[in-house]
Amino acid sequence: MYIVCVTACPVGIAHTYMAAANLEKAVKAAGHEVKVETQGAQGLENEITKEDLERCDAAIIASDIRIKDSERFEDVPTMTVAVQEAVKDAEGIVQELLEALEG
Amino acid sequence: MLDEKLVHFDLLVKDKSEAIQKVGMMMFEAGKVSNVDQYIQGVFAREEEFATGIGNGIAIPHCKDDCVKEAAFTLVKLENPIEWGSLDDKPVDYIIMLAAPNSSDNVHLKMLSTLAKNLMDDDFRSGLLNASSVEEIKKLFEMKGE
Repeated sequence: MYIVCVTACPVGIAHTYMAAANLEKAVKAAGHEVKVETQGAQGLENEITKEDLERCDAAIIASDIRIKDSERFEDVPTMTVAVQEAVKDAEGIVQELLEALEG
Repeated sequence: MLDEKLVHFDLLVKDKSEAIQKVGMMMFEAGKVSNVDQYIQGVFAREEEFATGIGNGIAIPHCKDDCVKEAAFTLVKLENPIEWGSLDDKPVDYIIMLAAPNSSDNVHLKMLSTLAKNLMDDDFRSGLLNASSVEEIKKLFEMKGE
C-alpha cells in the first residue's frame, strides 16, 4: 500500500518533524510505501502531488492546526490525529489505519 | 551550531517553571535572544498549548519570536528529574530548549528540525542522554551530519 502523510504544528520547528520521522518509520516498518509532507516554519516540504494522491491508498494527517490545501484529501480515506499522537505512538496510528483499510 | 555555552550537565532546579526561567536565561547570556522576558514568556505560552515533554525524560520547550537573534538549542541535563507533563507521563531530566528567529532563515531552522528528527532515533537519543562531555556530543552530531 501507499500511505501519504502530512504533519504540522503551531510553531513548526520541532513536533512537525518528529511526527514526520516517526510516521515514515512506522509505515516502512509495516512494509508499506510512504511519503510525508511537512508543513513547518520552513514552509511546505516534500509536497504530496496530484500523482501521489491518485496513487495512494490512504492519508494520515497529524496536525494541531488547519493544514494547507486540506481539500486535496477529499477523495482519499484519511485519518486525522493530533501531532503529539504521532510523536508518541506512530506505530499505533499506522496499525489502526491499516486495520481499518483491510477490515 | 552546537554552542558550548548552552551545554550543561548538572543544572539544579526545583520545578518546570524554574527550569524554563534558568534555561531561558542561558539563551540570553549566550547572546541568542535580545529580550529574555519576551522569550521566556513565549516559551511558557507554547507550553500552555501543549506540554513539550516528548518522552524518555526529554523536554523540548521552544519559541519562535522576533526577540530571537539566531537559531539555537540547549542541551541541559538536570540533577533531579522534574514533572513536566510528558507524552509518556514520566518526569523530565533533559531539556533541549529551542529558539528560532522569525526570519525565513531556512538553513538554521533546518538544523533545529534535523535535531528534532534525530531525537526520534533511538541510538542518537540514548547517545545524547548518556554523553558526559561536549566532545562526546560533538562526535554524536558529526555522525548524524549536523
